[in-house]
Amino acid sequence: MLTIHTIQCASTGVLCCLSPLDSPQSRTGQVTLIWAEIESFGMQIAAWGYNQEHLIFRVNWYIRPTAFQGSAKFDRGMMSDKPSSSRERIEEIKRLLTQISAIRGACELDLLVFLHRHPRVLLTSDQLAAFLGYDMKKIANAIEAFIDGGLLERTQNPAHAARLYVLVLDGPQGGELTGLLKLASTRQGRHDILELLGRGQSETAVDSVQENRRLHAIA
Amino acid sequence: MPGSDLVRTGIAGLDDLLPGGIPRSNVILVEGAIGAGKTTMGVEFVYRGVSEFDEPGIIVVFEVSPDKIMRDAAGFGWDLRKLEKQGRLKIVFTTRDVLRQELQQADSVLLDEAAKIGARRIFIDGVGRLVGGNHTVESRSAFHVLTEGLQRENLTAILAVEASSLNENSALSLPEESIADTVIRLRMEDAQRAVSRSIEIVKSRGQDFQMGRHTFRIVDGRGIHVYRRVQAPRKPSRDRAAAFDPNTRLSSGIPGLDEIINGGYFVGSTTVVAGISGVGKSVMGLQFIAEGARRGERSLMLSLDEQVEQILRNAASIGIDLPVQIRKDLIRVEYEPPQEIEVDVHFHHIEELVKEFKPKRVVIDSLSTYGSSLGTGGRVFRDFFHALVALMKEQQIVAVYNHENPEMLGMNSMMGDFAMSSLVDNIILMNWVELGDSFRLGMTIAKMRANPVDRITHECEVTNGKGMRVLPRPLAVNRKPFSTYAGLVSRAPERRSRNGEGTGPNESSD
Repeated sequence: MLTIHTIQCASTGVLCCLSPLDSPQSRTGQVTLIWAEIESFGMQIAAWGYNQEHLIFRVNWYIRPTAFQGSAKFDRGMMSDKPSSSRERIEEIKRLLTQISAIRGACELDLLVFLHRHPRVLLTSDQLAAFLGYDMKKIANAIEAFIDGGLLERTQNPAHAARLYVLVLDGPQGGELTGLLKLASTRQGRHDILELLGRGQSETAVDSVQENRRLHAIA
Repeated sequence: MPGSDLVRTGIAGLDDLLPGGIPRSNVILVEGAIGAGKTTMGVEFVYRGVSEFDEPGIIVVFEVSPDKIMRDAAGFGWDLRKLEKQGRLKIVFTTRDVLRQELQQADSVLLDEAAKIGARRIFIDGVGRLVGGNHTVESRSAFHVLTEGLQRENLTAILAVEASSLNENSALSLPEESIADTVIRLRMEDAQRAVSRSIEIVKSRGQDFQMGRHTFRIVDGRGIHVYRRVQAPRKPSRDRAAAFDPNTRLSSGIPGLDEIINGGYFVGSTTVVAGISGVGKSVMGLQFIAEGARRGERSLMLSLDEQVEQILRNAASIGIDLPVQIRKDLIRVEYEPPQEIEVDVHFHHIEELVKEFKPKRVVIDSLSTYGSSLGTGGRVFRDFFHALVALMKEQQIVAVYNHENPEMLGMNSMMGDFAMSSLVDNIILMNWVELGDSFRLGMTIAKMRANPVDRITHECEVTNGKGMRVLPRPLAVNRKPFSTYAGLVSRAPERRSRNGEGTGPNESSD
């Protein structure tokens, strides 16, 4: 039997499990942090008497929040390093994209990732566009969408060419943003997100073509 | 600088090179080549300010993304993300062009952000290209604009600037140096295929500071640690500390030796035991610290030659149970491998150890290994030894230094290339004497400050399970005592004739 400490991340709803591989009393063994967000759990880990040296990060291992509740004992057999199935991941991405309506394409996703790595940037929109490799218009639209969605704050001072952009991660959609960023941080996750966004756009495009045909027919 | 408003950097050891800190609102230029530690120093300056001195801060970066700054800082145990969430720190990513324009404007967004959190410190990483790499009047002017903007807000700023030439010991100065209030140079210096980091305060307006190149390290889990160069003057009290107790002596722990040296070593004295390898120097050291433990005095043994386990085994072979004394906290044995000793760091460790453990007796085994590691030609070894002697005297410690003299038979010089016998109070020469078909062990007190010395060569023996003792004169056993010979410390001792002249080395001759 293996004692597993579990705590739930307030923002993402994702569960964190810590499993001492050695005697929990001795505090000498390694601990596996199964789901990341280490910063959020640092205090709790310290309270259990562990430090970062005890931790192994396995960020690809995804546990449904409903799988474990509270601290409990589980067989080692219940532990698995297998990544979640692609179906689960895609369902999760769909859910997140539905929640975060400002993410409509690759430009928005790249802007989000950039702002996550640079949460407080003081740049002109030209520079921002240059950093991201999109044209100004697309970036400007993405920024407006982010601001409208409450994901981004921007200083307004016409005397300055540069604006200070601050990503809002602790807003109402903070949990979803973090979840999406986590998924986008892997190659496969980013690929899946872009594919879904592309599919969404092409579905929209197909709908648009059909709508045009319908309008032409009416005309 | 009494009464002045000093900003403590909080960087371990750095404030000790300054009178406790840097005057507030100084613009500090930190120069160095790639990898010299500029970013780490700047980030730590801001982090320590926020976390230890309640001074919020701003970090401005142009190239490194803030998430990498946070990740790297986490490796030192600095939780920047938490400080940001608490609104005490802001990390701003911008471009040099924007920053230059910003600082020229009275309503700068950046400075406004600083004001919102009441920032007192700022670190700008990579200002070199902000002000232009060509040493022109324009670049100077741009730097001036930058410093004016920062000083307007009363921010104490570290500005990191890349200076590749600093790795080549170049004296090339940057134009920004004349405008900055404080200039700190970080270097990576080659030393016999190894690389060590050094820090030098070139100038600091309005205050005195410790000049010269000091060592620093970037330590995982902690950050930067600056070690004052060993040659730098310490407290004036240290050198004056030789105002020792002129009466108290500590026993050597060698039966028969105390009688020869008038009762023991003076408190605060420096003794060198010189002799070839295997002559019993370490045995004497072990007996010296064991005697201290027997009397309830703390002793410290620092070894560069043998690891701790080996020392424990050696001690056991002469009947000294070191582990028991170590458990009682009466003895501490430390080993440091002599390869690539960074002398400033090593001295700092000894200093900390002595201050923390407070030993009355210290044995250092051996000076010759320091000589091999540091070289005896330059000033480094001598300055290190001088600092060590001063430290021990200040702490009123009896210090015994073993020194390996390479000569097996006879001695032409007491300390060979180690020209420092003038720093030493007592010198004990341990020497093999070849008489007949055996080597016998001789001990000569060559120097004993403030003591009458007979300079007689006494015979010693090291017995398994018991250790060393000085044999009485005359010997109880059926051997000719040393007193019947002449030239014992030369390579060819001779028996004395009745009229005092030598007759030959054969012990059996009458």
